[in-house]
Amino acid sequence: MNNDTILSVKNLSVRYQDFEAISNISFELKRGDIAIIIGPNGAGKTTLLKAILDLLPHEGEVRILGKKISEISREERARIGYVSQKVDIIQNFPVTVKELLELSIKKTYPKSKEQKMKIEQYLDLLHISHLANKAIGELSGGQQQRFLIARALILSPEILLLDEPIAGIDITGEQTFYEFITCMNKQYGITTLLVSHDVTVVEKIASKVICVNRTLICEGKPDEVLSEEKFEELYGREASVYKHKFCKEGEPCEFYKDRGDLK
Amino acid sequence: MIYGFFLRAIVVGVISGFLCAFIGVFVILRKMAFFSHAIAHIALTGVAIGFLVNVNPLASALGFSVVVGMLIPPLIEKSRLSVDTIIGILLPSSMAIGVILLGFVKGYKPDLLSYLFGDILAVSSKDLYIILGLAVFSIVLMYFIFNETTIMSFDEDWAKVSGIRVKYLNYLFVLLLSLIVIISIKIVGIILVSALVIIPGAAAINIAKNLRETFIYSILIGILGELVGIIASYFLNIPTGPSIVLTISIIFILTLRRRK
Ligand SMILES: Nc1ncnc2c1ncn2[C@@H]1O[C@H](COP(=O)(O)OP(=O)(O)O)[C@@H](O)[C@H]1O
Ligand SMILES: [Mg+2]
Repeated sequence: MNNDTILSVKNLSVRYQDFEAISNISFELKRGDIAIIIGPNGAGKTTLLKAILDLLPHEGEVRILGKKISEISREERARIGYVSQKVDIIQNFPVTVKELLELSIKKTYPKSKEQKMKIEQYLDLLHISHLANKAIGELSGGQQQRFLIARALILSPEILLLDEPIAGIDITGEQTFYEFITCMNKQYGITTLLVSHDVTVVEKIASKVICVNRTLICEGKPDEVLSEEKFEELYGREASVYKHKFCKEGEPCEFYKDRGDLK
Repeated sequence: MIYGFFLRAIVVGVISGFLCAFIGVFVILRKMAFFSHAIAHIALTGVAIGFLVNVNPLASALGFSVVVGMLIPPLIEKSRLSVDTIIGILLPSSMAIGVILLGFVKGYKPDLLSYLFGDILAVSSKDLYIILGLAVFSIVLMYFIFNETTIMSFDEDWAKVSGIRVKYLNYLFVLLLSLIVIISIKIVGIILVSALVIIPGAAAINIAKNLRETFIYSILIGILGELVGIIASYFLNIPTGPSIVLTISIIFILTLRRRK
């Protein structure tokens, strides 16, 4: 591990009772990498991310920013940003987007003026300024996801870990989000570790791909490691997802034709 | 003389109304309503032990509830059973032990009913000082853990990623909750105390637009309920604990109308 390494994962395993969800996963990220974790549903992608952040009991060693995560002080935690797959925030409770952001940044920015400025800036960045005073439970899924991203970014982290961050965001949102990740990476050297079930994202932005299906299937530069065989190994034999399209060309969504309410 | 006990009742009422309503917001948020109910019931064994070994029953109740309360989180972590199942076992067992132990108390027998439903007449000036001391300690502790407890209550993973020591904070929270519940047992009793913790916060949630309002409304409702309840019990000559709980319940029903 040299100075350039921002995250190193060694022999990481997680079991849920008797079930080994991930086993012996090792990889490293260099400062400035945009790495994408791909793998089918249930492959252990979320588990891997949570274990890296010490949110789950695990075996193996993780070093992030040169330290074990348990050794990173409360102040230094601002250097790590995390967007979970699900919004775990309690719904139907009167707490606003602004209040939740305030809570997150109070420690770093004790002055309320600074807090206000930061919050406005990041709400604007994610196009959710109009939702500042709305209760979190009144937001749509996509809007909540934008909130999560704002919360992860607001303390300007050096490394971002994102678990399918755009699953609920509409297409234009999706494009700008990837542009945004790339831009932050180019301008500020933000390292990103992103889980995605959408393989096309890899081609667009990744400097590194990490294929996971309970174990590490492949790791490296996308064009070097993403072969047809690896895809079969990752997603199973019949589903060569790389070429797979959801609907046939010319007859989109044929299987919907029986539904009278749809054209 | 009459005014002495009435004044003490009002003071203790306002303190417990404030503390219960404040922590109640967290208790609701963290789905610990049953937990707070259990802590109160566990206190009965502590009271009995106090009488048996000749210690102030309020102090022994506090000690016992805190110790058992602290044991619950690790027990939950190790077990396959859910929180409410574990508490559902602990609560009646502890209650049974408490009632049996009370039977062994020689000489002056404490009145079981006064512990179950509270007895405002029984707040001595000594009790008042203990309660004031505990209240000051609770408020200081609350001040220090407020921000992090709020983050932890909304999103535990986020709290962990932010470097908050969730496990340790959890213990402090249980300690705080036990303190506040024990303070209030004197007034409304073991059986009704969780109403003081839960109902003001629940009513506040019905009408608040944000977290700040939730805390403010909850505290106002808690204090108002205590004051009106104590005064009503005095003039209508009805038991104080039930009078307070009923007052708060009526306020809760009124807030339902305004729900969006
Ligand atoms: N808390 C849990 N208890 C037991 N099994 C779990 C738990 N969380 C996830 N799993 C299992 O672990 C496997 C990996 O899950 P996950 O990491 O969420 O996959 P992915 O994010 O790749 O879709 C799945 O088979 C899932 O059923
Ligand atoms: Mg997942």
